[in-house]
Parts: sequence; structure tokens; C-alpha cells
Amino acid sequence: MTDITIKSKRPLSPHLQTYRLPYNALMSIAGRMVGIGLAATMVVTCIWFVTLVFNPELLAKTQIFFAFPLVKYLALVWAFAIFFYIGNGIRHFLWAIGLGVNEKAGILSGNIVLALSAIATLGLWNVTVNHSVSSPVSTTTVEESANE
Amino acid sequence: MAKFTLPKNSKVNGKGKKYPAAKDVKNKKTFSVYRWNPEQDGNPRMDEYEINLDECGPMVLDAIIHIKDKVDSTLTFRRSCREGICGSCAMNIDGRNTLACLKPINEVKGDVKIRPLPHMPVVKDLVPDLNHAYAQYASIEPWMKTDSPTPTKERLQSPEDAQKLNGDDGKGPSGCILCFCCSTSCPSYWWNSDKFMGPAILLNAWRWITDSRDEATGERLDQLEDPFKLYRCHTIMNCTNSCPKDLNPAKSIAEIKKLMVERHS
Repeated sequence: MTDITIKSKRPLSPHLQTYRLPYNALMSIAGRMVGIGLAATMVVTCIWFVTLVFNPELLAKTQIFFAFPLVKYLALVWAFAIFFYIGNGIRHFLWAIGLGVNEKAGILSGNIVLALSAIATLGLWNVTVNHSVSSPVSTTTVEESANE
Repeated sequence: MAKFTLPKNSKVNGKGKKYPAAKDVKNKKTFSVYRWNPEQDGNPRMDEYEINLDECGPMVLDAIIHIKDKVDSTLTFRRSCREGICGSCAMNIDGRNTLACLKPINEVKGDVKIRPLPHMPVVKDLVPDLNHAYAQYASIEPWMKTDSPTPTKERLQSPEDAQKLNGDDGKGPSGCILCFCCSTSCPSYWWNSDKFMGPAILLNAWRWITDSRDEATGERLDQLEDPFKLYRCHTIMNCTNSCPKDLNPAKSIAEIKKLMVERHS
């Protein structure tokens, strides 16, 4: 037997750094990220609602905030995230009862979730932001959109 | 806990050795290979070998053997059958786990990057330490367990029951060759391999649970009923994506989870 001098501790082979993550893994990570994002924003939203109850003047201020087009689009992104999270949840539920647990079905169901989330978000955009995105929230705008 | 970065001693050093091909070689490809030697100081590095493809076979394993024979005999890796049966040459090629012997070189665009199976202690170069995974395999007691008296002939099985093991397409759980491509592709296994069994072991657990001749189903389920051993699987499905034998470990795990629910109701 030859003498082997071990000079350094065994390294850990590269993992996340080098793995080319497939579609279903990316969807899984996206689901996690969206979940964390939604949990955080949900807390902020709840705090906002509760504050409104005790401090009604805040409503006017936040309405100015929500009148910015960018904020409206962010709200739509948020809505998309909610739809995506619900859809992904249903996907996981189907997997839990053993349906569609293979790579092709995973890609198909993932694409369906993405497509439905996009459609739902567009629908929401159509009934909400579309009617008031160019003008600030005021009673006149509400009347105008009612007349349309 | 999940640790997304590599420990200090494991970070790959950018400056590896280069072995260029002869100048007149036209049909060449660069193989970038993970190197680490326990007898030398320092971090792992990526060595680059330029190979004349006219001199070597079509598979990545052919290229690695060519490197060892003709270019650099210090390169260390496992291989045996060279036809996808033994599972020895499992490694990470072009960012995905597979068997080097089944991976055609021309499927890889650009340089061929070859690393050991992910998130495993490296013994040397492309050889990971699989002791822990083998110990987990032993822990599920992968043999037939029976209480009934031993029959005088073999224990028979109907074609339908045999199909549960073999799969109607030959891709059932008994097709596993224990190469650990799946387990080492699984992020859950990366972060929790100390407690989570990983897809390879769970697929084999299912292979015995669903065997009509095995009489220890309840005992096997008891053993897996644990927040980590089974339920760290979050259906990421990297396992199914990476399996070089086209098996579906994710489905086997889903079947075990279903049985768990059924026996509680």
C-alpha cells in the first residue's frame, strides 16, 4: 500500500452554482419566492387596512399614492402573483393525489397556471385600472367611467 | 439548514491547467473538468482539455477515457460497463446529472463542463463519496421481508403485480441502478441530506412497498412516516428530469405519500 498524505479536507462539490435548473425546478423556486413576497406584502396590506380604520384621513393620502400609474401596475403584478400562487397551489394539490407527476405534465400544468394567471390579471386590468389609469382618483372620474 | 454557497475550501479556483490540442486538429472540443487531489494543497480547479473528436468515441465517457489514456493519466473517475447498466459514471455534465456513458458529446453546445455529482463530499476529481447515500439505502432494508412460511418453490407473482415493479414501459422502480443522479440533483436533498432520504432511496422504498410478495409494507411505511425522511420532497421533479434510465422517482414518492394518507383514513 502506498502512503497517502491527506493535505486538505474533502471539498463539497458545486450544486446550486452550476446546476442548470429545469423548468419544473424554476417554477418551484418561483412559487417559493412569490409565496415569501405575498406573505410580506399581505402583512403590510393588513397593517394598512387596520390603520385606515383608526385613521380615516390616511385614505386620501393613500389614494394619491395609488393614483400613480406605476403603483397601479405594481398592484397588477401583485394580483398576478396571487393568481399564480393559487394556481400553483392547485397544481401541488393535484400532485398530492398523484395526478400529473411527471415531467411533461409538470410543464403543461405549469404553463396552464401561467396562462390562466395572465388571463385573470388582464381581466382584472380591464375592469379596474383600465378605466382610471390616466386620471387621478376623484368623483369626476368615477362619474365619467360610469357614463362610458 | 439550506446553505446556498460553497464552503471556503470548496470554491472552484478559476486558474486550472490547459491542455491544448495539436495545432493541425480541426474537429476539436474543449472539456472543462473538475479537479481536486487530496494529496495536494488547495481548492478544486477546472482543467481544460482540448480533444480531437476524430480520435475518440461519441460519448462523454469516451472523451474522459481518452483524456486519461492519452492526455492526463492523473484524472480520476469511476466507470465500468460503459452502457448505462452499472451506474458508476454518474456525474454532472453540462449542468445536469447523467451517466457519462449515455451522454453524447454532440448534445452539448460549446465547452463540455464536467463536475462530480452535486453537493457531495469529493474523494478525488470526479469521484464523490457515496457512503452516506449507501447507508440510507441500507436503512430501508432493501430486501424481501416475509412472515409467512417459506414456500418450497419461489414466491410467485402475477404479471399485473410484476408490472408494478417493472412498469408497463420497462421504466418501473425496479429499473433503478443506484447511480444517484436523481438524489444529487434534488435541492431538498442538497439542503437536508442528513435527514431526507432523497429520491433514489424513496424510489427503492416504493419498489419494496409495492412488491406483492413483500409482507412488511406497514413496517416500511412506519419507517418513512417522518417530517424529513419522506416529506422533504416538494415535487421539484429534478429527479425525474435527471434520471438517465428515464424512471420517475417523483411518481414513486407521490405513491408513498398517497399510501400514507390511505392508511390513516
